[in-house]
Amino acid sequence: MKLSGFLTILKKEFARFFKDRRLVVSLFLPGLLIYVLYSLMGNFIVDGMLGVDEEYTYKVACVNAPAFLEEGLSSMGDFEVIEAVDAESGKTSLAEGEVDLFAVFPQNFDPMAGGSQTVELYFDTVKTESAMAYEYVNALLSALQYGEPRFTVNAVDLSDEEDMSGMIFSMIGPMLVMMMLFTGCISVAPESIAGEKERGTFATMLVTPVKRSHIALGKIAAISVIALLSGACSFLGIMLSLPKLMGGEATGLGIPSYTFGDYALLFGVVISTVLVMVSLVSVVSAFAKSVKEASGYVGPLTAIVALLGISTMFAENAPVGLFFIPLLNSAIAMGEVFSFAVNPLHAVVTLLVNLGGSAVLCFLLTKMFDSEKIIFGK
Amino acid sequence: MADTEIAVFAENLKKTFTLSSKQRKLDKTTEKKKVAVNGLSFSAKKGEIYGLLGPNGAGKTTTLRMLATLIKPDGGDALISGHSVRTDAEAVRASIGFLTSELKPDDFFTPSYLFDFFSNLQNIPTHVRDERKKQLFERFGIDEFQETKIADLSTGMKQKVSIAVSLVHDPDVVIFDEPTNGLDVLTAKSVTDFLLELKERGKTVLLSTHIFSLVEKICDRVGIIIDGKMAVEANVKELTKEKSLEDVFFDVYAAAKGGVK
Ligand SMILES: Nc1ncnc2c1ncn2[C@@H]1O[C@H](COP(=O)(O)OP(=O)(O)OP(=O)(O)O)[C@@H](O)[C@H]1O
Ligand SMILES: [Mg+2]
Repeated sequence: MKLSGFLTILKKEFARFFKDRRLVVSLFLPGLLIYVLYSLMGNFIVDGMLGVDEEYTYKVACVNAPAFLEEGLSSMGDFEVIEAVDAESGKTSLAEGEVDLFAVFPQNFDPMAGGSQTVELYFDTVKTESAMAYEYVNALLSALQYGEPRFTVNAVDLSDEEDMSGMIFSMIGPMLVMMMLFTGCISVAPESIAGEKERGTFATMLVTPVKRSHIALGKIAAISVIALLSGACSFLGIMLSLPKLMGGEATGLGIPSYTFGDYALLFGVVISTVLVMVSLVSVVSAFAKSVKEASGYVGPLTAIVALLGISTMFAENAPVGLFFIPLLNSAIAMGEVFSFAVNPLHAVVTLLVNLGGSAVLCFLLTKMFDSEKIIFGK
Repeated sequence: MADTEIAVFAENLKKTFTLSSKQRKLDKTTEKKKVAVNGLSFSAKKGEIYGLLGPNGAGKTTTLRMLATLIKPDGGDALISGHSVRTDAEAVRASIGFLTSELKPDDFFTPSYLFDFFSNLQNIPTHVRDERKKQLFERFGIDEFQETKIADLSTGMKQKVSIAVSLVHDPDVVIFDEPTNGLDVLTAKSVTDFLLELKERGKTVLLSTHIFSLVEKICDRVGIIIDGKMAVEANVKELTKEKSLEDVFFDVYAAAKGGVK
């Protein structure tokens, strides 16, 4: 009984949203656009940026290099084969980037002999040159044993893949997520608040006994769910296009393996962030007399959110004080999750500050709904 | 209170607006304040149709908004079915139906959806709601359009839907700002007929208008508002015994303003 007003408003907001084709399209469109755009961009990036200069000379360190190796490789590109003293020094030069590949052949390796010969190849997928050098050498070795396999190739990727993907994710991830959520929220909130004022439908609710706080809560809850849905669509678009964007299999980059706890934390941060964004945009929209005016006010906010998203790149080892600033805390906390540097204190402060912030904003919205200047201001 | 109960009792209502610079330019004044309602008192008895008559800008809409708890009086108070608009706004909202052309039904919904929505906001049980919906929709001929989006309805039909959905809780007091504005004669007649029906059912109707004939046709009593003040409050029949309402109005206006300019 106590909740009936809230639930009635909530249901009506959903019904209103899904009856408006324009709004529904604006919910799914960003995700679709991101997918198409990133897939296209990905193709360019892989062909261009991630490619290796034609003039490049690959350096291969080798133990027991067989005679055919240098010959075979030179037919494919510029290669320099260096004799390594032992396995340790070879790996060190690879790690330090002095060579692109480190190969260990058995003594007196004979590709035609068969038996239990094993070739070991060490490389680092994060470096494009290294990944390419591996592809070449591996191709050469495969060519040598067409027909039946006569020896084993043991490929060892020395890259710390998780770290690398985590780094990229922690850099662009927070901004992407923040922008996706914000986009979802600003496509609905101004319409739901300023739009109702503009169309004269808002006051029809105010002359019923429903509590102003229930109207505010119902609207914020409904818009939050819709913004989350929209964010999820964009997220899906990114995830599906990510392999293409980052060159996928070619460089071995993928979605880093986060734990269930990481995801749960991320989810919590995302929800609290959406609540802050929605209540903020709702309050701002309530000041406006029309959707157009509200969009004008929301513009600068979009820029701020984008800036906050980027700022995580410069916020390594952020002091706990920063987590008391709503939205900035979300961006940094997400960055920490993405880069496997979860800090429970930071996460808890972020959640509490954001929930508290949304509660304050929601209270403010309730007061605004009760203010004749806001509702009838000329 | 004697044999007849008072349904709406307003006492010394005051409302002053602070004008923004934009509004001052629009109204061509330099004054920062606008006294819209200036110590207005009146009372409407249960079961009567009471008309607030006044020229443009007299403060009619402002008064009705205060009674509907959409804006708060700066001074004075009003009791509706015994509930104060200042201290018991929620109870007031549960006992009134408020109609004005500024409050519009949402274009995206159907009449039937809106009726259910407002019934829920008024905590009406489902079976009562369905019974009332059938009755009101039949009365206004909305039944064949009840699943049509409001956006696709004619102006007259929209007005009828507005009336139906603002009466979901069968309120004792119906407050109606300019009931016939913008309606053709047929729709206007069906609206005024309905107001008379409400009266017959013992409801109190409080309306505002600047149309003399409307007051003469349906109002039991009238209050003439000039510049936010009650100039005359009287029984319509008695007031118009000797002169037409229009002539009475000019006399009252001249007395209040010191001559019509
Ligand atoms: N929100 C507001 N802010 C400032 N001034 C206002 C506001 N609302 C009304 N007024 C002013 O108060 C005065 C009374 O307005 P009101 O709308 O109550 O008159 P009315 O009797 O309904 O007139 P009409 O017949 O034109 O509808 C007018 O001068 C109007 O400009
Ligand atoms: Mg008016």
